[in-house]
Amino acid sequence: MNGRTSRLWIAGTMLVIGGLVSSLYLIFIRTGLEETLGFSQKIFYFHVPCAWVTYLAFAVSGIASVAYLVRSSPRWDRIAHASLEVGTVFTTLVLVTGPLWAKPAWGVYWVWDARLTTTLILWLIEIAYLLLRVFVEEPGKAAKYCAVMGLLGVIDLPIIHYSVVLWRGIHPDPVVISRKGFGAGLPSEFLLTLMVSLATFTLLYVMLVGVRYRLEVVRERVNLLRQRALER
Amino acid sequence: MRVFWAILWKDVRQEWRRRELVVVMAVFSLVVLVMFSFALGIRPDRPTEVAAAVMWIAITFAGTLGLNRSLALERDDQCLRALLLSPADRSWIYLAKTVGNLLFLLIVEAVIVPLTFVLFNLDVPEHPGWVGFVCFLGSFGFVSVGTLLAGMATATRMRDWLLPLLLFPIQVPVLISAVRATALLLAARPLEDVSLWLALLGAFDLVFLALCIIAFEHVVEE
Repeated sequence: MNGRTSRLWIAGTMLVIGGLVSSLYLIFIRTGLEETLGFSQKIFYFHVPCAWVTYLAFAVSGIASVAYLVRSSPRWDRIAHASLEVGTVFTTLVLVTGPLWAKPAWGVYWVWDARLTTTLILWLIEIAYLLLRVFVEEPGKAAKYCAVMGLLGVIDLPIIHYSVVLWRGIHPDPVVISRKGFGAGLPSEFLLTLMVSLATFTLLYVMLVGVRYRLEVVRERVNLLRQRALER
Repeated sequence: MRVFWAILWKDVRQEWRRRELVVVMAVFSLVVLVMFSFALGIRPDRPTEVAAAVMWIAITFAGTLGLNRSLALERDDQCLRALLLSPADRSWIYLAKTVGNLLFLLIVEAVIVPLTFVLFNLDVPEHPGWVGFVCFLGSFGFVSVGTLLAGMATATRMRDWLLPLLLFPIQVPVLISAVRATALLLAARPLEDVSLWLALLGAFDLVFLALCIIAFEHVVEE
């Protein structure tokens, strides 16, 4: 790591820490309680950014998968892998924070609503992708198989969502980007808190993918060195 | 094109001589049907929804068995490698394996679908042809993605264990639309209601057939 990337790195880390602290301050101290839902609505400021990162990560992974199939440069594979792995963590968070909020709000932990179901299936696809990565022995083959799985997943997701919408359709309607215009469904105070939280989580995602990418590079290097040592 | 017929003919002949795969798949799906009947309990009103769901689960499980076997046979003894060494177009290899798997699954369905009617005490549907068409479209979507993913799964350390994990989440739209379409047809609902699900099935089939043809090349490359 040269001087410039390491400075960028430190700056990013500081920003994420600052963002997290200010998000927490905004969420719990600055922003008031929501009228009907009360305190449980606070989880919204974590749930929505996690859901956003989930879909962002999957999209990035899908695009990188296609790029890998076309260019077959290991860089794209590392990005696809890193993004999907980080995305899986956020998907898990969405699936945990959602039911925690749903119990006081809807009275049940889980409903087979379109968005919930799609996210659950997305999580299953991500797990399948990571298992595939583990169980294919040759690294080159694993990259190819996973790229194919990523490609199928990304194209399938809208079809899954559409079919689940048709299958049944109680999730609260989108409040941030709705037909009434940007942010019309939310009081401005809430929107500000959400935006800070969204920005922080997105940056956190980028940083984590960066760490994961570097880890992969180092791991490949170690494997290469080990192989050379064995050949000697 | 000749490669396509050659591989398809080889698969059919092999199956005709052994008669293993189709028999095991049919018996397995029958066992699934019976197990589900026990699990659901004997009720005087067997709604068509339940029958359609159980039927498609049985087909899916049997299909997974067949897909794994079909591709494992190619992986054993390096048959697939030999095919790839030949100057044959890889797309035709993929299509031949897909159509072969589809054929075997349809034979199994010819047994299992009427048996579902008997075990769940259903009337013969108003449009038996359309039920057949749903079975065809559903199986096609299942088999086209399945053949590709089985090609990947059989090359892993876990061999046939991995296929259901890869395949089932991807083919959720097929399962939803095939079950809904079948249930509506069994309940003798008008065809207009069914057409939406048929369109969804058709769209999935086309999109994934194209994707799988493109992706197969990358999967089998050594």
